[in-house]
Amino acid sequence: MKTVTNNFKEQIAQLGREIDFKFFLHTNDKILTEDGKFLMTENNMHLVVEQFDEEEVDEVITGDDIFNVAIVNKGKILSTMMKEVDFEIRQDLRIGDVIDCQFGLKVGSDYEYVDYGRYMIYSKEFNEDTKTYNYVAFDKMLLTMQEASPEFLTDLEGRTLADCINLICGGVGLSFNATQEQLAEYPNLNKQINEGTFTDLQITYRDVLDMIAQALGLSMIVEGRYLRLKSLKSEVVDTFDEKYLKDVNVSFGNKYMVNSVVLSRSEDNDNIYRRDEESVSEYGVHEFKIKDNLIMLYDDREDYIDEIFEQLNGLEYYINDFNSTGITYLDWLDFYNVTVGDKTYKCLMLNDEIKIQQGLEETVYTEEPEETVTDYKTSSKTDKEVSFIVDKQNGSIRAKVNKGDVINEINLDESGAEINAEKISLAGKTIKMTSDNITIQSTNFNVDDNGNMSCTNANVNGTITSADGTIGGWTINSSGLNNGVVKLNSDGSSTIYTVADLFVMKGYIMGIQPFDTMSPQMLSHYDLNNDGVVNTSDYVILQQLIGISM
Amino acid sequence: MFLDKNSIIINGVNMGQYIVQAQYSYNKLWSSDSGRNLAGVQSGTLIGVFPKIILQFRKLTKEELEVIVPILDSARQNVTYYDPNKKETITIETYTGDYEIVNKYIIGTNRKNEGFACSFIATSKRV
Repeated sequence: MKTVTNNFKEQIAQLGREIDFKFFLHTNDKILTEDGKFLMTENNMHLVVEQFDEEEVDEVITGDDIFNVAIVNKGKILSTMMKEVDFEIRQDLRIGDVIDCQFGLKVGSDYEYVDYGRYMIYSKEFNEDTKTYNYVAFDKMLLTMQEASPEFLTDLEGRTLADCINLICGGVGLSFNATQEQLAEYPNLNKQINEGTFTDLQITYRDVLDMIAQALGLSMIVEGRYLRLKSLKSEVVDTFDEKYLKDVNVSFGNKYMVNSVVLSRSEDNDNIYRRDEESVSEYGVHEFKIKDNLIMLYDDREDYIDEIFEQLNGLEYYINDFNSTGITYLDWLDFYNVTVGDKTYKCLMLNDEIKIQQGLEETVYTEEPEETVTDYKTSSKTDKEVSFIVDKQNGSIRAKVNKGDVINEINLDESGAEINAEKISLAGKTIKMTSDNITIQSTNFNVDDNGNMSCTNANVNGTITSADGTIGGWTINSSGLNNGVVKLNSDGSSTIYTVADLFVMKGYIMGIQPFDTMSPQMLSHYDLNNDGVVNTSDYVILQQLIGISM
Repeated sequence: MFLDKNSIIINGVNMGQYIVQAQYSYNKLWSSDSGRNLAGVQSGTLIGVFPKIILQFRKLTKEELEVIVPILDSARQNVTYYDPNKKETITIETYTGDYEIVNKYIIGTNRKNEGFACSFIATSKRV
């Protein structure tokens, strides 16, 4: 809340109040435009900062030359807010000119002035009909809209959030310098940004600050030369009754509240949460969801969520939309009460537009936040048991389940897909595996690079083709099966060797039976080494086959 | 307030010798934000007090008219008068309303037109 006297607060609602407005102009003498457009680059940022911090006042523009002014503060919680002023005056100012704004109210015999801060003119438009100029100007948060260089973003990685804020502020001429009290009060300031968080991203400094704001559970605003952190854990600053409200367009809706905080990633598929179970059982779940915050995309999310929950749990305010006769001294994110009859509505200043022409009117509204629904059955309080990370920057997906001593993982990236699990089951009506090369290694089933398959205890039905190998003690060759003494030939014939064959062969070898009486079939039967003759070599082989020496 | 013969000077001309009456009205101008608030109480911004001085001129000769009329016909006038709110003599910039001069006779050195009135209205609020 801006500092004003009690007389100011009384007088602002009175009939016959007299108001005033002033601009203190610091003219731009540095090159900040290109083709009439506002130019802000890394190379000229120091000039922009110098211009913004210019002390010398070149002109005071008073109410006589001011046609209308609108001071606009619009934002949402856990983000940065950039203040805006739109005004119409006679003077032809330059883009990049800087103005300090003051609103005055006559209290007693003198005017009491409220400082609305410093703004830089961003755009202008000439009105041919009235020969006046319309301007739009923003506060120093404007300078954080500059795109951050890859080198700068890489430099942020590994640093604490407090250091990151300091670095960004240093680049745009703002001061931050977290105090020891702040570091203790907001422990997430000490958390570090993971390596690779901002790789290959095109984002502005303000985008980074928005992410940091969410990670802290706080909001950010520029006040003077300082970037301030604003907490939602603050008290009501003032109460306003009907005399501050116009008699039209006054509405109060539902009460918005938060008793659950959800950090979501991977397109809402992977959520962790913290809840106030007592509040949930009484009022139901009222969640605030933070989606895909790059800083909290890794497995250290639960390091952040407790502090964010601490900041948001218990937040409650009424959705509102009303035209006020003029309050003018509330700041963004102030809590205030509005009393209408016997009802009191606790409200949060999120959107405020103060219009000053000849008179004063203020429009205050709070939009209904986007409703989110989380399936808490598939969410958890920690990433340590279940995590699912879609990393679009690095082109990878990782799913992990970690319970007890068991860790099961699926990893997908450009190098391939990898499944590491205690047990893998594939079940389907048809399972088709297609590959140039499949190898399987296990204790009971193997297929090597050459297609050699081995397994224990195979039960095979169907057609089997082979010209080599063994089966059940039988040797397979191109002509049939044999186990030594018995041959089963592929033409259906068979050959059996017995002890009698030893006697017959011995008879031929010893010349008892002449060789020319040996039929071709007998020659084939007894030529065991297939050398074309039957001799002692064949006899030795036959002895070995039968297992008898004679 | 007409306190003495020098109480109203317009564009450097002392009007005291030409008028029989001066009427001072202090008109408040309210902003469009004025109206009743939710409590039913009137509230709003006072833009300011815009003084208006209506001078009733006596019958004037031709020569006297020739002094007065250029002032009345000019786009802007500087009017110096005593303001009881400010408790001092102040000068304001004004514009004039329409005026009409009636002749019942041929006007000359001895004959005069009928008296008439003209208003001087402040262009900006009295500070």
